[in-house]
Amino acid sequence: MTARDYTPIYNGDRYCLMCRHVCPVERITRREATSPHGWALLIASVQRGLIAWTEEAVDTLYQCADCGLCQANCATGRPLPAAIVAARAAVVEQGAMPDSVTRLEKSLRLWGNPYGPLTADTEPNAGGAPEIGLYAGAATRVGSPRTITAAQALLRAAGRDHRLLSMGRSGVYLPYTLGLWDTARVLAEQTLDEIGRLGVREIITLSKEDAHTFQHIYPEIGVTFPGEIRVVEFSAWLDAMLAGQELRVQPHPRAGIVFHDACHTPRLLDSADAPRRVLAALTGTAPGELFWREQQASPCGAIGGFLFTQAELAARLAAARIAEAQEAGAAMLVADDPHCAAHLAAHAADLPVVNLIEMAAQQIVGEIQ
Amino acid sequence: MLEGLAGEMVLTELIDALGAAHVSTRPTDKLIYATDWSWMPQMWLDRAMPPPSPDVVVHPGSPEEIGRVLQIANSYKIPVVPWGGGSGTQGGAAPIYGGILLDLKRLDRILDINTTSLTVTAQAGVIGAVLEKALNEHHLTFPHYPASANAATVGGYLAARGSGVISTKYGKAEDLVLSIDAVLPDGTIIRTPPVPSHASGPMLMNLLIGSEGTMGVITAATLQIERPPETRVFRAVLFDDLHQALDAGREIMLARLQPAVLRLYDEGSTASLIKRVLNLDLQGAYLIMVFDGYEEIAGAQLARAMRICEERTAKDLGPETAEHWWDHRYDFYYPPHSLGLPLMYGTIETVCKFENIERLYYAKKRLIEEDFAEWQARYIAHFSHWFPWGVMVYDRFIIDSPPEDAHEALQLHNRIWTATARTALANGGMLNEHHGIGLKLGRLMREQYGTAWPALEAIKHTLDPRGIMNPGKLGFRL
Repeated sequence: MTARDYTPIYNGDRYCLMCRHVCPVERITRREATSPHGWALLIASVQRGLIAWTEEAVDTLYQCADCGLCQANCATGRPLPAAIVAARAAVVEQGAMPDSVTRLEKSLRLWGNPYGPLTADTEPNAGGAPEIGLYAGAATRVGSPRTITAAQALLRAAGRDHRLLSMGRSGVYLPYTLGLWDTARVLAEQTLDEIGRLGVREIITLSKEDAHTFQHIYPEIGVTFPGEIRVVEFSAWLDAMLAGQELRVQPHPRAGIVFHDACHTPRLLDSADAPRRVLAALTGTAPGELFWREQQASPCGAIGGFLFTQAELAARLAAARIAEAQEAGAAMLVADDPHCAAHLAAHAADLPVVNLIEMAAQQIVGEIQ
Repeated sequence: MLEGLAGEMVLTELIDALGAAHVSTRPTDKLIYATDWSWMPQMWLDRAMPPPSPDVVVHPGSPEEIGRVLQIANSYKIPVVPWGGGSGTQGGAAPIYGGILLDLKRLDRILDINTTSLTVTAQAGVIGAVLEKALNEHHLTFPHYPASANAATVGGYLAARGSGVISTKYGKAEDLVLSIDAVLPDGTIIRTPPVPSHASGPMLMNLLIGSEGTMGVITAATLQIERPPETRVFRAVLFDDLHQALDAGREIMLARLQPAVLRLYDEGSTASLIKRVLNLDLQGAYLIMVFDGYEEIAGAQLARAMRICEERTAKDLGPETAEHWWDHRYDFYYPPHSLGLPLMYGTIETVCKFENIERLYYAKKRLIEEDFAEWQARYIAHFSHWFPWGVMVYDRFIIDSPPEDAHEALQLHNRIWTATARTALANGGMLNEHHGIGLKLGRLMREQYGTAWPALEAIKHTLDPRGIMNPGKLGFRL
């Protein structure tokens, strides 16, 4: 859908204040302009000719983290996040996007990722199609390679044949959320080609962002994701393995464990419980909680392309989560998403940040196959 | 307007006081802060009319910083418009003369939760829903549940004397406050006495409570909180006519049965709003009752209330629809359920003694439906905040096809408000019960207060001799 299609959403939401209190960006900036109704009013005002897409207005538009909290906490489920992203796509069409987005698009077109030349696709096994595609993505490969190793160890321990997916390619969410929809479609088609060549029937994503992307973003940009392929995020898979006793872990009691819900958690139904059960199995106790959690879980800053376009806001979001964790008495902060864990760790000087998947891999009981 | 050299000097002083990160002249900020939740500025912007915007938006982080801002404003004689959640419906936070918009949401700390006296002390910028979430983590609650809880702040609750859906038992916001911290217009920081019930002089804090930012800036408040009730019991009944329903409500209140909720929808609201939002197809006056507390007491209160209703031929609808309303009580205020542009609408609510309520209600209904028939104005009402002596009527007018021209639309809107407000006054009502006065009703304050008005104006002038605090609001002269 285009920005024009979303006009009723901008008009209906521009004066609605009902979700502002859960918006993580507004809670940091305290600016009405960087809150759900502020973005809607800004876009609606541009449509009325009251303000133009100046550099300042565009920067304000790109300060939405696209975390989905406004929609998840809306009694009528208004799709404002998608509407804001559609407005960014319109800005891109006009060539008015921020320089950071222009630079990112060049990298994505050239390398498929923002980091440089990486080996792109995984080739199929000669011996036939693997059961599972472990979707890693370029960001995890570059920023959290140990998580990939840990996830593979867990899959092997459970006896699951798998291959790595999209090791050199960024997920579709990054170009999508920044309004680079043509680029997002190119990456989506390349990913679907790779999936088709490998012949996997199930995709396990290391990040909730990628699960959200396969489920919700592909249709938003008009790309059909094969309905017969099941998508599950890793902590849900791990939880099921533990519940079915296909994997066993040795509990290691720890004091002061506080859990951070991954970015996009509110967008994935019932996705908050699984990592908590895994963490309880690993530590023998329920984790401590942040003030904003589960359906109101705030992102840590590793979201919405912020690392590339809003570095200061990304850092402030991380600092806010770390401050909440410390207020909750954390001696250790655990996240199940590799992007979150890496970003939080980079901003937590005195607080250890641990990835749940890596923690699980260290506590597996039995021989790793 | 802050322009030229003077404007630069003001900016310099504000940045010196607050830091550059908390002082904004960004065009996007000026645009977004131009409208609060009131129809007037929203309509203005909707019709692509340049809105009255603040010259500068500031985000102070402490009472001391607010004091500095007010001192600067006094030095240069600049308007200061306090902004809590921006959820007021009367234009109270609309910066109609420009100046400094004082966003208080950085005052967002909950300072103390006292489980001995059951009080919470919170800064003025704490959003109601955030306060409630924090209290719930301690198995406590602040018994003020307004529809705006997700948007309004603690300071806004008090500055506009708000009501919530359980105010009939627990009181309005102003009944739940023990003391406040505030900054007076000259920058002086004050704290009122620690408890409200005493015989040690007049209630100083009441000068600021309900003052809508015209007498100073509330920066924190100590509020009465509660343990959540052991139970809530629900019941809905349907009356054939509004007269019987109002009489039942009156008797329940006079009998001191302490309902947490008595929410009575007139026939028009029952047929439209209840049908649209709750999917209930009913004809008559629909009454929701909620009693809470210990199970045996709440049950006994409900039983007596039901007897009162049944004596007035009410039909028992059981608890389910009332529970459904409770679970979805805020849904009315989300788009697309909430009233919004391009409609013209106004919540012209008022409060009066029982002896006047029917006369007042029918006078306003007739006025809207007959005097504004050419615009096919509709009138709907419910009665939701009850007192031992009377009740408020939450009534609204709605026009589906208002004038396209912004000036014409605003003039029509004002004519309706003026007529309905004067009708309320003529029938023993107040200008307003819990939305406040703001910009919308200020011109009628002299008529409301009569010979008492100069006394209020004198107090305002004494506290704010330069007239910097939220000018154009509450009817105070510039």
